[in-house]
Amino acid sequence: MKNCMALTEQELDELIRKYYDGDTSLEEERILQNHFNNASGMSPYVGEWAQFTYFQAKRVEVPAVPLSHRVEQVMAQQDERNKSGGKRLFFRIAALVIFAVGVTWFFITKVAPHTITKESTAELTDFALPDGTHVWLNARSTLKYGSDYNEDDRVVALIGEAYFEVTRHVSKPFIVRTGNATTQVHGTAFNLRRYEKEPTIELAVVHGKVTFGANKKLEVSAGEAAAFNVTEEDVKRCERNPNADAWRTKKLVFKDAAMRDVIRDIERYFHITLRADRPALLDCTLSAEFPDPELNNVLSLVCYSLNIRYSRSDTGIYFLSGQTCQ
Amino acid sequence: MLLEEDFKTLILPLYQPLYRFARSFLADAQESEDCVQDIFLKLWLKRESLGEVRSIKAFAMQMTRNLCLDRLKGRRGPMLDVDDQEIESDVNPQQQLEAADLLIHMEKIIVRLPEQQRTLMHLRNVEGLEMAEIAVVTDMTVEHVRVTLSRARMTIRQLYEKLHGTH
Repeated sequence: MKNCMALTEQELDELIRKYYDGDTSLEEERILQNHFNNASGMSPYVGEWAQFTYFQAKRVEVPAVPLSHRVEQVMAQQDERNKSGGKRLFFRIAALVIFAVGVTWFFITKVAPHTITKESTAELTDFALPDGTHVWLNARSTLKYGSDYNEDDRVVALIGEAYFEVTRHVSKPFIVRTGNATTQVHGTAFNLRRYEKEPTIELAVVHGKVTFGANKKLEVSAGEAAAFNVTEEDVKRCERNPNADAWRTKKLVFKDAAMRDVIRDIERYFHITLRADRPALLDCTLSAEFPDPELNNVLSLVCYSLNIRYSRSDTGIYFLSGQTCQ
Repeated sequence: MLLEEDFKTLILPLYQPLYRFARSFLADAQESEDCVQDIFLKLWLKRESLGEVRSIKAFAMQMTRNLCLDRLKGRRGPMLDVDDQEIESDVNPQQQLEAADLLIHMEKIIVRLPEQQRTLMHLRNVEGLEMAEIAVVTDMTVEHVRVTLSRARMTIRQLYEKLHGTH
C-alpha cells in the first residue's frame, strides 16, 4: 500500500535522515507518520516503521474513566465556598422550568425566575428594588436578585459595597448574601462592604437592627458595626467607622482620627493606594471635614495640617512623606 | 486571572495529553489518573495567576512530569506494564498479532531509555509539541532538546533492530 501523497524513495531517505538528526518539522513528521501508517513493515525501514507504529498507538491512549467528570467534581467541591449562583442556580432554574412544563399548561405560561444584575462601573449608582427598598451601589460593585424578588422573601447578592434603605416588611425578610455571610433585616438602613480582595466583609448599621453572619450570627443595632472574617468565617463587633458610607454621602469626616484610619478612608473613597513612608505617621491624628472631597485638595490639606508632603509614583501609588506630626 | 469558563475550555481538554504523559512514567492507569487529577486541582487553585503563564499546556505538562518523577523517587524496576498496552482495533487479526509483537518489543526498548530521552520522545512523537514547548516542559535549551531527541531516535532504532534481528 502506498500513501496517496506518495514519497519517492529519495524523499523518504532524506526525511528519515532529518528525523534522526532531530531536524524534521512537525509537518514532516506527520508525512512520515502517514507513510508508515500505510506501509507494512518492509525493510529497509523496519526500525522507523516500528517507531511510528508504536507512537501512533500511544497517541490514542485515553483514561478509562472520563476523567473530566472527576476533575469537575473536585473543582465543584473546592468551589463550594464561594458559590451561591452559577451552576447551582442554573440547575435550580432548569429544574423549575422542567417542573413547570411537566405539571400544567398553566405553569408553562409562568416565567421561571431569572437573575437581574445591576452593576456600577466607575461611578456610584442608585436605584429602587421592586418593594421600594432603595439601594446605592458604590463604584465597581454588583447586585443581583431574582425576578421572584419580593414574592416570598427578598434576597439579593452583593459583590462590592452598597448602602440599603430597606422598606419595612415584617413577613418578607430582606436578605443580602455576600459570600458565606448573610445579612438579614426587616426594615432598616445599613452599609455593607465586600470587595473580593479584602479579608473582611464590613457592616455598618445606620438605623434599625440587622442579623449578620454565617453559622454564628450577631444582632447589630443602629450605630454599631461588625466585620465578618471571610477565611475564619467568624463575625465580630467592631467600632463603627464614621466614614463607612462616605462614598454615598460624599463627605469625609475625621474627628481626632488616627492617620491609619484616615489613610484607609481616603484609599477607599478615591479607590487609590496611599502609603506613609514612616510608620510613626500612622499614629498622628487629624480633625477635618471634606464635603464633596477632591483627591488633591484632601491630600494637600492633610499634608498642610501635618506638615508633610505627598507625591505620586509612576505606578499610581500615592506616598506621604516628611517629618512626623510632632 | 482565569475564569471558571476559561478553565473549562482551556484546561479541561488537556486531560488526555496529561494522562498519556503521566502514563509514560507510571505503570498503573489508576495512579496516572490520580496524578492528572492532582494536577488539575493544583491548576484550579492557581487559576488566578495562570493568565500570566504563556503556554498553559507546556506548564501543565511540566507540572505533570515533576509530579510523576516525585512519585517515582525511590522506586525501582520497570515503570510500565507491558501487557497492559492497547492496540488499535481497526487492523486485521494477522496484522494485530504483528502489531502486538511490535508494541511489546518497543515497550521494552522505551522502558530502557533514560527518563529524559523517553520524555522527549513522548512529547514530540506522541503529543506533537514544538521544540520550543518541549524545551519549556523539560527545562532544557532547544538545541539540547534536538540533540537528545536525535540520540533517542537512533538508540530506539538500534535496539529495535538488535532485538528484532535485521532483515
